Parts: sequence; C-alpha cells; structure tokens
Amino acid sequence: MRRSLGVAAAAAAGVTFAASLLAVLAGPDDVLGLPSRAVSTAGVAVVTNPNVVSRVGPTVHLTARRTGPPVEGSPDLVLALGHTEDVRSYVGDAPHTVVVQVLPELGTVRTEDVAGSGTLPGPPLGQDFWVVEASGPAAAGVRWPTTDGVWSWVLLNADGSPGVAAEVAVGVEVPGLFAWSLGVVGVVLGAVAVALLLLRLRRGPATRPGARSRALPFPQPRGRPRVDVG
Amino acid sequence: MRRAVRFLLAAGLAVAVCATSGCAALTSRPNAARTGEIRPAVTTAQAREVWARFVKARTADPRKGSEKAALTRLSGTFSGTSLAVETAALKLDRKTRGGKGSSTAATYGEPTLLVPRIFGYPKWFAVRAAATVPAAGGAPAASETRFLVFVRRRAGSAWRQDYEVGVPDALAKGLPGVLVDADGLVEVVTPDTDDGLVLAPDAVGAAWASAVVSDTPAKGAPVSGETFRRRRLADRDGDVLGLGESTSVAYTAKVRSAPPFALRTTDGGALVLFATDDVRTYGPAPGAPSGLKIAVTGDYALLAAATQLRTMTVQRLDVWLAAVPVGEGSAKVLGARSVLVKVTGTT
Repeated sequence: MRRSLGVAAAAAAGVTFAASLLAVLAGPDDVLGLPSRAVSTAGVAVVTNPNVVSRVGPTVHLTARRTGPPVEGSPDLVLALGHTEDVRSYVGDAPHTVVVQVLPELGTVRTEDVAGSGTLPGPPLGQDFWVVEASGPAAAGVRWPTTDGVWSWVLLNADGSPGVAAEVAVGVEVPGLFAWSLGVVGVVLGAVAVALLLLRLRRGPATRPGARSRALPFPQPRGRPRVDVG
Repeated sequence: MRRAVRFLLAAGLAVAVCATSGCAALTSRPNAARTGEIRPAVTTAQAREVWARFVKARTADPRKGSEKAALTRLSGTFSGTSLAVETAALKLDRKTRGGKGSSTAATYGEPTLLVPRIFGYPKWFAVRAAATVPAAGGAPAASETRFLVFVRRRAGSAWRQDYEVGVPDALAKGLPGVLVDADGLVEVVTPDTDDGLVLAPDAVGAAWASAVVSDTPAKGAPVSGETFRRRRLADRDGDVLGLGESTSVAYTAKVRSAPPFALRTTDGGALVLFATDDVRTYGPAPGAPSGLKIAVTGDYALLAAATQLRTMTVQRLDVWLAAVPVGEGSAKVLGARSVLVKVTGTT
C-alpha cells in the first residue's frame, strides 16, 4: 500500500510538472515552438524546397526576425508562402538560396546557393499568388493552416534587394493545449487532495501506530466500599 | 478506494501525454501532394479585373502624348504579337493623322471568360467578346466576335493582351462553341499533339502560310479560308495594277515563332490562334526598262524611307483564328486581324 502511494505521488508530481511546463511553453496562444534556425542569402530570396512541407494538418506559425543591427531606411522583411510553381517562376533566374532540407532532429538546415543574373519581376508585397504573406521592419510572422500541396516558403526584402538574413522560428498550434495543461494540473492536484482526504478519513483518529491512548478513565468510586458486619 | 485514486492519476497522466505530443501527432499526416496541382490559370475575379483594366486602357486614346509615351503605355497593356500589332498601328496612325482624330479602337461588350487549367508559366486565358469596330478610312462600322488572349509570362509580372483576332459576323455562325467543363473551365489543346485533329495546332500556321499566298491552293489542302485568301490576292493584284504592269511581285508568308493558343471545342476539335508574317516584294518585271522605279503611294509612303524605290518590300503582320475539326476535312480560317508593319526598299 505504501509503495503504491509512493508511485502515485511520483506520477502525480511528474504529470503536474509536465503539464505546467507545457502551459508555460505554449502560452495562451497554444503554440509549441521549435528552436529558431538562422538562414541567409546574398541573393534576393531564401526559398524552401517543397519537401520541407512534408507533413500537413496542424496550423503552423512562422516568425522571421532579421539578424544583425537595424539599419535606418532598410527595407521591410517579407515572409510569404506560395505554390512552388509560382514561387519558382517569380524568383526566376535571380540569385537566391534554396533550403534543400530541414533536419529538426539534428537542428540543421541544408541550403544551396543558386547563381543568377535576373531580378524579380516586381516587389513581393501584394502579389496575388501568395497564400499567406507578412512583412515588418524587423520581423514578420504568419499563421498557416497547413493543407496538401506543393508549397514553398520565401523570405526576402520588400524591395526585392539582395541580402537577407534572419532567424526563423516554427511553431505548431495545438488547439486548447494551454487550457488542457492547466486543466491537467488542476485535476492532478485535485485528485491528490481528494486522495489524501479519503485516506485520512479511512484511517480514523486512533489508528496511527504508536499513538498513546487518550481514552478517558472510567469514573472511579470515591473512598472504599464499606462493609457492614452485623 | 485505492482504485479510485489510481484511476484519477491514470486519467491525468493520459491527458497530459496526449496534450504533450500524442494529439499533435495524430492531427498531422504526410503531405499527399507530390506534384504540382494543375490549377486554373487565373481566378474568375482576377480575370474580370484584368479584363476591366484592359477595356479601360483600350478605351483611352492610345495616341495621347508623345509617341514614346504612347509606346510605353502600349507595352503596359500588350505583349508579344499584340504589342507588335498595336505598335505598328500606332505608328501608322500617328503618321496618317498626326495623332489627331477619333480613336479607331473597337469597343467591347458581352465578354465570356475562357479560363483553362495550366501548370507552370506562361499562364493564359482567353476572352470571347462582341466588338464594334468604328467606321474608318471609308470602311463602315462593323461588328465582330473577338477572341482575345491574355498572358502572364511569369509569376509577379502583369497580365497583358497577347493575341486579338476578330471573326466577322458573316463567318461567326461557323464558329464552334468552346468546351466548358463542370467547373466552368475550358480545355487547352497541346500545340504539338494532333489528338485526333486534322492538324496539330502548331502545324496550322505553316499550312495556312503556304495556302494564303497561293493562287491555286492544292485540292484537299489542310487549311482553307477563301474569304481571306481572295482578299489578300486582290490586295496584291491591286498593288501590281497601281504600280504598273512592268512590276513583278514575290509573295511569301511564314508563321511567327510565337506559340499558338488552342482551345478544345464542343465538337472535339480546336480553335487555334496563330500569327504569320506576310511579305510582298515588288520590283521590275523581267524585261522592264532599266532604271524603272516604283512610285510609293498611300500608306506605303507613310512608312517608306523614299517616294521612289527600285524594289519595295511590304511587311504585314497577321493574326488568324482557325477552327480545326477532328477526323476528316480541313481546318478553316474564320478570323483575321492585319496591320501594315514595315515598308523598306532599295533606291
């Protein structure tokens, strides 16, 4: 019995810790983030190969933060997603860098530089073939409910100028994760409390081994009984 | 009692594990797409926007401002074959009327969008519209059925009008309908495959180029179009007559390098749009007196470098529309658009 209670207590502590950690990591927006990775190009764009979007289903959050000191008047950073055929046509023969493979388990991103002499046909913002797009002076973030398709992510400067360097972070949205985690913490703590209460009630107040009896003495007759001898 | 405690703890653990990784993994699956989806070349909304922008640009007088500014405006609206046609027409118009007078551009109505599924670039779609051509140069106003092709050569570049050809009302009844599928999309016929057609789309131009300049086209020629062939020969003969009997003419036509556009029709055939360069070279006939020169007149004089030429080469650019049947028969040219491009010669 004592051993079972020990295991249960350890499990409860572990679950509480894990759930609390999840709640902290996910935050109220329910997004579990992966460590960010640095990508850069001397060309006009960083483009991912279609195999990078190998799994679909959850909603992903991508955030790109420009690396290096901010420069006055530098163009906004643009992060966008499009069908690979559109993206390849758009980038055309302009110099760019292709993200060939992402290996999350090794924490590596394999890239290849593509030489070229062309330019982009127009500025990236507002192009009608983007599925999602975002821009910002220092960072750009998008939310995309993933679907089947041949997709490419693109990172580039808003004016199409060469030289892009950013830290890109990917997060997976797990709906209700924050609420669930808090709920689990609550349920486990509640269960522990209930279990302790039940245990206490079951044992009763005098069942503790080694405890001294505090039973009240029977009332003793005062004085000695008298015996009358006739 | 002990059971209840265990149950509560196990349930909590399961929920935590599920929330940690299990649920996220269950909702993710491999991306089913391995190759690119063959999507509509353009959305209906985008096509309508492209059409509205084109009509607005078309309605504006293209001759406004300097010739350089006008040519820059044209290159924002037209590309390829149409840009060559419009540029030549603008230059001729400015020389004819100094950029003054009312616009001779057609007005359009009742557009039907013909959007195919296309993978990769260039992407294109067509519009079939009724058009009214204003009276000009002594010719009365006319109504036509026009086919226009809009092309986007690269993602991020603008949609521009690349082909435009009119089918006169007299011939419009011979036009087969364009096949439209359940999604409201039309089917592209690949240019280099005959697919049961009398001629593969990219063979129609060459066949017509040899037929249109021929005085007596071979019986059973793969392409016919008597209306246009006779008109061309009449032009040629009129030129020779005007220039004098001692003038000879060499008449050739060749298909332009621009790829044809072809759409499947309801009868299984195809509507093919293609373009040819028509070149006539006039010179002294054999036995003509030496030193004989051609007096360059009319529109030719507007484009020629001199009014007296020993030999004169006249180049026209023609856009054609042909209906190509399946099985037997011959393709029939039903629509045309022509512009005088260049007049050169030797003095």
